[in-house]
Amino acid sequence: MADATGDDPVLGLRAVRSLRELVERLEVLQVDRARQLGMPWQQIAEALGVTKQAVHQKHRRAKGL
Amino acid sequence: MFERFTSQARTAVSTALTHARDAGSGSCDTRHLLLALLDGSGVRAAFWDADANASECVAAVQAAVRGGSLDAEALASIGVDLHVVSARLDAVFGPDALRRGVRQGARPRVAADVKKALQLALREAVRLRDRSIDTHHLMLGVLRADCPGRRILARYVHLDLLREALEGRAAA
Repeated sequence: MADATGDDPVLGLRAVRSLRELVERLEVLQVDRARQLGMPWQQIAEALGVTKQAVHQKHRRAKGL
Repeated sequence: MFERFTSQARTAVSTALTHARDAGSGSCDTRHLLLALLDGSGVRAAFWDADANASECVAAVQAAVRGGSLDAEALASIGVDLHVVSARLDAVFGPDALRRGVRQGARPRVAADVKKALQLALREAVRLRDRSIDTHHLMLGVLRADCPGRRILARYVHLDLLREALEGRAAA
């Protein structure tokens, strides 16, 4: 196996996985904060570039907990 | 397979899941299993037999799982400094922000490497003619699998010595 340097494909794939996880966590934090600040779902959806239904479905439950 | 696990082995698996959840990790991999196994006296004794420093291993594994599924080394390879990200987020969202960003109620799933290690543990028990699967066998399973847990361990422990010690303990 290659050393843990930038050209190691395994390291690169691990980076992809970690970035994905980072994005997920960042989204939870940001959406939650936006809601706390009173931002409407429509505006959050537009900022994220997704539909209002999608963002609502994904985050509504999490906030209630 | 689980019906052949001893209560200590069952406890180790559930403790591994707890370790994963506490670390804010979406999946429970062999590093969490390793932490759980090192909680137990049986595996600790084998480390002692193999002249390996269990506490040093625990510290290394804890450091590795701290970021949860976030792999600081991999992120650094593409220029993302997880410490900087973490500090920036804490400044906006409060302390421990990255961990709190883990989706609420999400249960860690058991990663493929743990499943593999458990299968290999069963095989080890069969090979050693043991009726039940104990923590020693789980540890042997981790050592047989090509997995993150084993890779960390290899930095601190002579794996062959540890394997012998575990086999000796399993026979005892």
